[in-house]
Amino acid sequence: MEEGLPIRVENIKAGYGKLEILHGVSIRAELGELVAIVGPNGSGKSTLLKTIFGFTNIYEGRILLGDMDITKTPPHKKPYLGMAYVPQVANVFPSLSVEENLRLSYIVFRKRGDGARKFSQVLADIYEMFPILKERRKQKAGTLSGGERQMLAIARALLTQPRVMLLDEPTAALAPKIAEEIFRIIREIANKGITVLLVEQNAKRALEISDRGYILVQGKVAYEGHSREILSHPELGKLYLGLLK
Amino acid sequence: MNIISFLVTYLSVAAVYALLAISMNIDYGWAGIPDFGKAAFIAAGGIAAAIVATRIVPPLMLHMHPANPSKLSFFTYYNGKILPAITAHPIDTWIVFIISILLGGIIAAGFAVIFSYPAIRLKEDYLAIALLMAAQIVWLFLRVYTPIMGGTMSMTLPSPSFKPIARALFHSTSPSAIDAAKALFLWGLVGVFLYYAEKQMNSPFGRMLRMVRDDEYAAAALGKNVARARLESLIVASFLAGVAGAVYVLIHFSSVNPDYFMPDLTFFVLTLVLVGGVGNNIGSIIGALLIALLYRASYIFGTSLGFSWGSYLYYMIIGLAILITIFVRPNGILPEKPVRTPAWDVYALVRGKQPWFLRRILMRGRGKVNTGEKSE
Amino acid sequence: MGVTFMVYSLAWGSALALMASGLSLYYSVSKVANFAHGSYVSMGLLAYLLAIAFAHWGSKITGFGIDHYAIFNISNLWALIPAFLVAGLVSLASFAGIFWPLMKRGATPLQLLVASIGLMFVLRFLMYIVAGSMNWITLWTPGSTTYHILGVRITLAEILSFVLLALVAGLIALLETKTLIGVSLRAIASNPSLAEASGIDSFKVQALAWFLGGGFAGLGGVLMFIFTGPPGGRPIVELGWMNLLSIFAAAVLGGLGSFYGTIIAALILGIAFNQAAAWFTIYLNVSSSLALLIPFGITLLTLLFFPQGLAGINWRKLVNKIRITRVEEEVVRR
Ligand SMILES: Nc1ncnc2c1ncn2[C@@H]1O[C@H](COP(=O)(O)OP(=O)(O)O)[C@@H](O)[C@H]1O
Ligand SMILES: [Mg+2]
Repeated sequence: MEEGLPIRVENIKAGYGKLEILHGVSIRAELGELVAIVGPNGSGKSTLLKTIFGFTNIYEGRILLGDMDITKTPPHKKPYLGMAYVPQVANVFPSLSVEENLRLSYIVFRKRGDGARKFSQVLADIYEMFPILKERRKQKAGTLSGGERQMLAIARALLTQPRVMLLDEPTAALAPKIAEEIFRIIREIANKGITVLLVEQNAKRALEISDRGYILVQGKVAYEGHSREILSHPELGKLYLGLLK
Repeated sequence: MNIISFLVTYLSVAAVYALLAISMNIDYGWAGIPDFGKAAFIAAGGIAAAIVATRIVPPLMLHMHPANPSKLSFFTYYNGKILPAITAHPIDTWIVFIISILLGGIIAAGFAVIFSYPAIRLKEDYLAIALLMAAQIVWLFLRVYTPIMGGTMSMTLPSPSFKPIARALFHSTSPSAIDAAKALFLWGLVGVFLYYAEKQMNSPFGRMLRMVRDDEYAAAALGKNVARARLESLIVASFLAGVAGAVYVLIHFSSVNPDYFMPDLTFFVLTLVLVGGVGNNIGSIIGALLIALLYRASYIFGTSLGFSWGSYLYYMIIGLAILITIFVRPNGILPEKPVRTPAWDVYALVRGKQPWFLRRILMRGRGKVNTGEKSE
Repeated sequence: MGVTFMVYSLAWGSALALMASGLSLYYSVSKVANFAHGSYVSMGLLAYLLAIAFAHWGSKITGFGIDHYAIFNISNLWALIPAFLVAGLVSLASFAGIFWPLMKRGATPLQLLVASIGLMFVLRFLMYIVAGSMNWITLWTPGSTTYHILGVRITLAEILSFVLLALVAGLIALLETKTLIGVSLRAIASNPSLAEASGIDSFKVQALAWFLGGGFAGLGGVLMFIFTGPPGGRPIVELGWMNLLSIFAAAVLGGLGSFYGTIIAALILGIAFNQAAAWFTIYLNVSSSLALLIPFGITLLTLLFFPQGLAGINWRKLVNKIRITRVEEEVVRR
């Protein structure tokens, strides 16, 4: 598998239509780094990921993937550059079976795969990683439980052999045990050398597993630093993250 | 002279189109309702004119029996007795006209109440098709149900007489003077429609309609009754369509036939609004003037080509007009004017605070939002 | 009446199903309520007639002579291929040339719909040029080889409409489950922006849907013409336009964008319309054209209660509801 790629967002101003949501945001994630983006509801975390993937209007600033400027690259070309995006909601195709959902990743895989490994091998690996998906493979994705659905969404992304993954609240509304499982998988992905941008509501857990973190407040970066540093900061937790120690 | 007579007839035709366009502009342009049932509302005017001429005016004014278009004896009786009796006195033709436009408006408004049931529930695509089907049903019904306008044979109607007006204005009753009087009258009517529509448009009602069109959820959040707004716009627009429909048959055709109200008519009127400028009344009138000219010119040119398809050239003209407009000027020749009083100012005035969803944007204009501490 | 008429009604419904399912196929991915769909129907028919005319060019091809060659028989079947191709390509061209560019600019559903009306007028004019310069075409009265099977009179066109519908339904089923582009098609229908984020080439997939959808319309057009002849005595170019509302009725009743829902709806409407038409002429002595009231009425009523059409009905819930009311009734009875 190829190495991860660094991604850099430079002073981005973006939003929906004429409504600006991000007022000059800069973040970066180095090769193979797991970066958490946390912050209160409505602060623009999802908008930031959507912007990186090209689903919003960008008014100013630029986005770099490695050395390549991808500010204007349309979303459907991004997977071929090694980017994978798992949206917060509607991240699987409910009317397709689990297997069909996974099979769609072949479209990108056949352009990105290194040739040495066949799709079926990679798929087998994925089923090993998520055994529950193998059990459910004939089932419609719309009938999966919340945790299974998140796993399917992550599996879909992984199958495209990404170098950068954008994950939007993959543990929202999941039971703690299942959320824990997902966090473990995310850490594992980053350990393999894939760069991960993780947006999370559960700030504490996200910061615990990540290398660095950003706190986004009202469309601006309010704080950035090493995750441990943020976790141990006397004020930040109380101010923004609802962490009471 | 030839040019002048062409111009005068052209202006009359354009005026009738303008009336139809203004009506379309209210529900399609302001309320965003794809009113593909417009032909049926216009047909209401035709129905009214037919009923007035055959069943209301004869017993009421002429002490004659009403005529029944489904009877075999209808033509000898209606064409031979009733029509000459009405046209004998210019005043009577005007009474027919006035009752017809009022009744046409009322019938159309009644249709609107019935049609509004789906109109406030269905999504755009479904609604457009549902209304088109409803209009098709009205058309089919008029073709088959003979007692109203006698089925598919054209029934002559008593046009309002413009002779007295021509005499008063031009001291002449030559055909061209009469035509000029007719054109003047029709444009006067356009002026009335325009005045009414403009007044409505800049009233709280008109603002509310456009708000509902642009953002249904925001409008609902502001406490607007979205369903009611749609219903009212459909009724107002349909009343005007009914009036225009009566003018269409009585003055434009001097006869009535269900085939005047085929769905093509709806698309034609839609083209006028679209090309002229959706949401802009003056634009609708310009659209009517322009398309009427293209329509007539392409018809004259097409038929003079000597090909059997020449007379269909206007299809091409209308089709291209629509496509070019959508691609080049999606908002038409005269785009919609901005609202004169912003709705949120009205809201702030009434409620004493800004609507929640705008607070953010408005605040940004007035000062920086504190974003908290910056590190490093 | 009887079986023969039932077969005819179903065959008519199958022709309608071919036309309407084509609309549903591309509506599911592109969300264009395309009024030019009727033009693809007429284009297919024109292509069919012209293909036969050119094949018999040496023979006496003008006037009523053409009737002889036009009879729908086994040796003319090949002409369905140009019908499919021409209608499909025109449909594809209108997607690539008009609807896709407009969609890229963020046109609203209403703007797309209005653009399709413009396109419909232009295509209609182009067809008038073709048909008008060969006016023998308008004289055409269709016919079809007839068989008697078990005492039931059945025409080749009727058999073919069942066969074609089955083929088309099977083809789409295969395509949508066995091929990647077919799965992509369903993916776009279910969540367009996720499909985009998954790297699916939306243009290619939609283009395929438009090509097939237009082609199906063309096939349906040929069959419908064989069944009903020139629509209401008007030029054959108007065939598509005269059937457009029935097409939409079927597509809307089936739940715009649901391929199989549309086929079922079209078959239901086919029976309803033809039975009503017979009934209207025999018992009420009024024109059979008024029988359109029945399919339109069914569609409008369904829409009022289920604004998403048949496909939008939650059947399981409905069945449960009925079952629950029954249980309640029993409780009350006790
Ligand atoms: N599609 C959209 N159109 C307009 N505004 C939106 C849209 N999605 C989100 N917003 C607005 O953008 C802001 C940030 O939303 P989001 O990025 O989803 O926040 P978060 O993910 O941090 O909770 C919110 O005020 C929200 O109302
Ligand atoms: Mg979010």
